[in-house]
Amino acid sequence: MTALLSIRDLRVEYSPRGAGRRHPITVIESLDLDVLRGETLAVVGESGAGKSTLAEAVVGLVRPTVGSMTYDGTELVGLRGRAGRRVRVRIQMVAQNPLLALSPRLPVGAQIEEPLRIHTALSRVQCRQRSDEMIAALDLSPAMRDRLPHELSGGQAQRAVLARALVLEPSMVIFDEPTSALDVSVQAGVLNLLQQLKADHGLTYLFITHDLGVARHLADRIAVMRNGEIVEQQPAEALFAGPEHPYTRSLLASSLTV
Amino acid sequence: MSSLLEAEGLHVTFNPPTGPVQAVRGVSLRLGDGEIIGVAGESGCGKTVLFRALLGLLPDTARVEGSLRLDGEPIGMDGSLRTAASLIYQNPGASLNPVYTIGQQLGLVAGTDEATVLGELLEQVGLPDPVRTLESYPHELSGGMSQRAVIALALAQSPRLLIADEPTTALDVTTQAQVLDLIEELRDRIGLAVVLISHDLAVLRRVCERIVVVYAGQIAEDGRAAQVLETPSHPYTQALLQSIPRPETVGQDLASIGGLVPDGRTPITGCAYAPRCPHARDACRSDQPAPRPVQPGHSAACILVEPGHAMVGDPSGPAE
Repeated sequence: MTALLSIRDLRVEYSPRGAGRRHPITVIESLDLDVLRGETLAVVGESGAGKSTLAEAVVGLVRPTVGSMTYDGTELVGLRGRAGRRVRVRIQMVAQNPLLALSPRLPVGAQIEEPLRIHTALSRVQCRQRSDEMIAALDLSPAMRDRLPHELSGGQAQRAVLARALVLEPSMVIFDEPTSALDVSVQAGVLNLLQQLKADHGLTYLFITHDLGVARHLADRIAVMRNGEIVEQQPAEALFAGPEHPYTRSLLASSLTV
Repeated sequence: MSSLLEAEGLHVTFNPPTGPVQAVRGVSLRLGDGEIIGVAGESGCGKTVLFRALLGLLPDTARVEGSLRLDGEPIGMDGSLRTAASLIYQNPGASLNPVYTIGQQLGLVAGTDEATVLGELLEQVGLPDPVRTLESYPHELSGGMSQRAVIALALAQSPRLLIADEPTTALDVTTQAQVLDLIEELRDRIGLAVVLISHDLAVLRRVCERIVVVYAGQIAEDGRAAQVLETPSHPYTQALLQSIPRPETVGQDLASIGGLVPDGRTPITGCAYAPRCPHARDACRSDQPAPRPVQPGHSAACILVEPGHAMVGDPSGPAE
């Protein structure tokens, strides 16, 4: 398998603007990571490891200090304007809390259509049609189109966010703790759906989670991140069978099972 | 074990303008001195409301019915329990006042500003360097340290019962393990009884002797932790357990529970879980199931439970 996304020597720093701090804080330090076409790569680690910053750097929400990220042969670092938008449509992101990711005042259907209106030349009718298909594909009832986000359950809201991410037919989806805010019973449905969508649309997933059980369930490979670095990466089963880095071993030891 | 706390026939109803919402529908619960019990269930099952009602923390618009005893003596649900019980929440950051130091906040609750007394409270929850921590503001502490500080605040009144509502949900796995160890240690050292409310069954298994599974404001299953988790007897408990990803589920679909938790607005006849239950039959929709014994100390409110047969659908059990 070839790499769809190749990250080399990535460094991300935040420069605090407040008083008393002059030095930038390094959140990601010389990070190398490949996401192979068609795989699910899980990135696990504790809060503050830099997992979310990594996701934000890939979708262009934060700008790296140095390094390179090539997506399907195109360099993402420094890419702006129309060319940047064209590539970034291919990489969509789904965040943890669906109610923060959705606008509270716009009906769900309109929010699923919005990316089509911005990024495609489709007509109003075609946008409507595409979004209807997406709503159906995610097991949401057509009545959901006219609801506001607060009228949906947690699982339905996360499906709506997924619909909005997938409506542009991306090839890669980055998930940042997509089920952490959901009950296990609802999480199970969303995880099943993610597996099915991946198979149906040939998607590549970069899946960020602190839940090792979820990572093991979904991922082909798992990368363990700590203090802005990848300390270990292995095929999922191999990682659980033979963790090599002491940090991975301590993570596995503190994870609880039923 | 003597009973520290006994609640009988607890009902909680909210009365918003849109019509009554039944959040707790007849819960009876016993808690022994120094016992750690876990309360499990999905969001909206009434776990939190149940214990807020016991502590008298619900708004005046809530109607609370039932009786409560502490050490066998009847007490009101008007906050009387707060002399003996402390409550901690999911997000430690939200429980601490950001503009006061830990020492100032602890002093208010403990009723003293004696640094040695406050320092001891911090040492009790395993916070290193109490002198420095007393002078720290909440934002200077990590998540795990903040939750320890919140537990120190809860202990400042020398409670006999700690009610912990999702205390580790906002924490990382390594920090979570440490906080759970601390809860267990406090029980062993000072005989603290603990109610651990969590949607995470793995967390409950780690520290609880008993687990109570709540569904739609009622107790679906109650038993020793091993009984409930290894021979789950209520279809709801079984479904919750099956929806958790495990090594065996790799490459397979997980069993999710279709449908939603009842919202408490629609009156429920029969079993509240029947609309989502794969085993439901006509009787389930008409009669409300009473708790039935499975094994000594283990009961489930399901008409399919027969004593001695742990699992619904067990081939040796009653016919499906």
